[in-house]
Amino acid sequence: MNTGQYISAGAHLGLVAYVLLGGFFLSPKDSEPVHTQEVSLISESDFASLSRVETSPEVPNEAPEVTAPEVSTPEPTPPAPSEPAAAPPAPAEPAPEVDVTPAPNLAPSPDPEISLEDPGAGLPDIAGQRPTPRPVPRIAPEAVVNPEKTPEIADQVVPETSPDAAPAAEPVPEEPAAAPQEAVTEIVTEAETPSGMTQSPRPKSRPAAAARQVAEQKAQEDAAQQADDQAQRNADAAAKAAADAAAALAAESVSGTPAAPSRPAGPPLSAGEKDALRVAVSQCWNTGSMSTEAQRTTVTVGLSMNPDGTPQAGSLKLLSSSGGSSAAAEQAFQTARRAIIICGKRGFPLPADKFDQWSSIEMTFDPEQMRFK
Amino acid sequence: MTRFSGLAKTCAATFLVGLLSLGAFTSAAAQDTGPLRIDITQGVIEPLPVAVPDFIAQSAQAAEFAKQISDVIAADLVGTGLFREVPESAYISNVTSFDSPVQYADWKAINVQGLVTGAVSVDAAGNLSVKFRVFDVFSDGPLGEGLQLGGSTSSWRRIAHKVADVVYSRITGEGAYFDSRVVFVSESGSKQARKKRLAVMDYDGANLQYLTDDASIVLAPRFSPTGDRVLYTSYESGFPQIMMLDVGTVTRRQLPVPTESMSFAPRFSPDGNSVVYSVSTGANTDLYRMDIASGQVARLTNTPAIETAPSFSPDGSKIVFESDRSGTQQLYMMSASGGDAQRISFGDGRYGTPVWSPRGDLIAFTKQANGRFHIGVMRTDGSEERLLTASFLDEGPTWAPNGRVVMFTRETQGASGESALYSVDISGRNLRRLPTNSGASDPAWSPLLK
Repeated sequence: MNTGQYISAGAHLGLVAYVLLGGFFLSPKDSEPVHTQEVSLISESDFASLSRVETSPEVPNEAPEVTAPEVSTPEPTPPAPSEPAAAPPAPAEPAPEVDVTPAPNLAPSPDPEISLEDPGAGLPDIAGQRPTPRPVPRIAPEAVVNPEKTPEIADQVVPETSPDAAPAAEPVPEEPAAAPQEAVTEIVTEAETPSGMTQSPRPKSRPAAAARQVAEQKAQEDAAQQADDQAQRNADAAAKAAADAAAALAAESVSGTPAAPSRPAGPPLSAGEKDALRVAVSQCWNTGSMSTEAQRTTVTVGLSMNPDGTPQAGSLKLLSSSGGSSAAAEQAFQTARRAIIICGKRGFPLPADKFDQWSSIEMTFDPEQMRFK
Repeated sequence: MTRFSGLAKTCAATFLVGLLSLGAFTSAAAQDTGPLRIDITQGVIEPLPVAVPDFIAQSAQAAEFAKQISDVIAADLVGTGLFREVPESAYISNVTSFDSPVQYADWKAINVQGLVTGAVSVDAAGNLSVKFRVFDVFSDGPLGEGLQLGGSTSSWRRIAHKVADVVYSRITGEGAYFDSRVVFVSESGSKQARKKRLAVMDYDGANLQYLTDDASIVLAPRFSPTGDRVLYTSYESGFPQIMMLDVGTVTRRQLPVPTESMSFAPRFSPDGNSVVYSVSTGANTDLYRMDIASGQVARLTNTPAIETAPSFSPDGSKIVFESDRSGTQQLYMMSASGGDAQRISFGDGRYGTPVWSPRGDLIAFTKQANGRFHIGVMRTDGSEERLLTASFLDEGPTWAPNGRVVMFTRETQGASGESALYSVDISGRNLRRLPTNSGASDPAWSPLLK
């Protein structure tokens, strides 16, 4: 028994040792068959390629030499694809030039339309137009500010005749003056559109609310068809947004979340949409004629909005102020009030489908950064 | 297997719980609908459009004044750089009667934000009467109550300035400065043989009047707090001496300062009862204060350095002045009774001629750095230094009565260089040259006239 057990144990140990050590020894042997596999792969795949390889040893010699250029050529190669790709941009470049000329034409009258037109104009057009309109309007408002400053500083000579000439030209361009503001609005709405699209699936499903929204949008569509171009563009934008929202709502309602009976709040405004409103108000917030004390006074103004994006003039009220006397706060409030009314008379660029998000607004006007401009 | 599947279930359950709680948070956030809050920190700085239709002439005699008065009002407002006048050619509806209701929509349509209407009448005794109203067009209402001003026809410009003062104050909420005067040194002749005489004019350059002849050099005139007297430095005796001149009677007298020393750079205290000035003996210059009525003199500084250009704080408790006690010319502040002084200017370059704002919040100064001169302002502790101008030679700032505008001397380079008066807003905008018929320097702005 013991001898048998010893023999058995020895045999097992031998087997284990063989497995362990043999494995190590076999593994290098396995590496050798790898070479044979390479050979087999080459031979099986392309016999003709072997012959070509034999015929083209010179070519590989050139190839390594070329590789150095190839490292540099990757740069040329992208240009090469870019050139075919540049063919579409090439038409796109003349297109911007064409856009620049209509921009002034459109600018004077239908500015708010333009902003709404972009969502409604369709994606392909926007894609084509984006590169060009952005630089133009953005440069414009900044440039407008700078020329005002520099001439003022440079004006060392008699002002009395020149101001007469300057305002003489201004009353006519007043609507054009509103135009660049709207142009800026337009930019942001472009940025706004994708963000609105990305967030549209977010709202929780409310089938009843969705149906009501769709009905409203259809009503708007009907009205828009009868109305002028502005209304049409508005309705297009609204209808598109409504379609997106309805699709999202329908998709979520399928998922089974129960509907809430509350009013349709819509998704929160995206950062781009808030910026659009901020920029729109900033265009008319003229802190230059404020008293020095008022320029240190921060005021918060509350207001109610109409669905068309215009502020309800009677709803503007001073909610709070800090940093100055009551007289300074009142003056700061009046300045803010003028900004909201004047720039809001054509409607702020706000998404119609999110009306409940912006039906009530609190704007805080902090002139701190304007004092040293 | 069962243990692993149990672990997998636990993980999946935890994941789902996490997912659900995440969804709950987002839906809670989506349903939180308060008012939309927006912070506006950027705006524009541009002139506010105002309209000043010609005032209604209520008598034939008043016709010539009606247009002139409204023109002066508009010029005052536009001259601040804070307003621009919408020309009459742009008007949709004109003002035909002082009491007719304002057509706000017509003014809104041409973007007029402030509207000034008025009427002018001249009675049989030749007294001019002007009544006016200010309207905030976008509030659909008047800005304050209507006012009526009266005076002789010869003072029509002052009346117009006073109307503009009211309009300016009501729209900006700031004190005004149109009904004020400027005393300065009128210069003529070449740079080598320049003749100087004291002159006074309205803030806009009108009604120029000479106070002295050009027989001797005069320097650095300063108005009294009430605007009725002027202190200046005269070389009448061949030696710099401080003179005090009554503007109304154009009579002058010398302050009782010891005649063997050179005294200069005088300035009134805010109560008008005492004068602070510099006295130079040898290479040393120190500050003194004299009670005008008694002639009693107190020495304020006692250092081997040069102290000069003193200026009181509006409450009369402190004096800011320039001194080179640190090696370079810098600004210092001390109690009005003298004593230790704290340096408040620490930038590069040399600082001089500090002047305390009538509002008390800022100090204007001349700064020389990198070969150029600047007019600047800083807070009274030396912080927030802001240079308003830069040129070959800018110096000698003086404050408008409302503390928002600074006037100073700018001299051009070269032998034919001429000096002129300029004004600039404390924001650094609206640099303007004052119309003077000859060279001008050393301006001092009066307070608002009574």
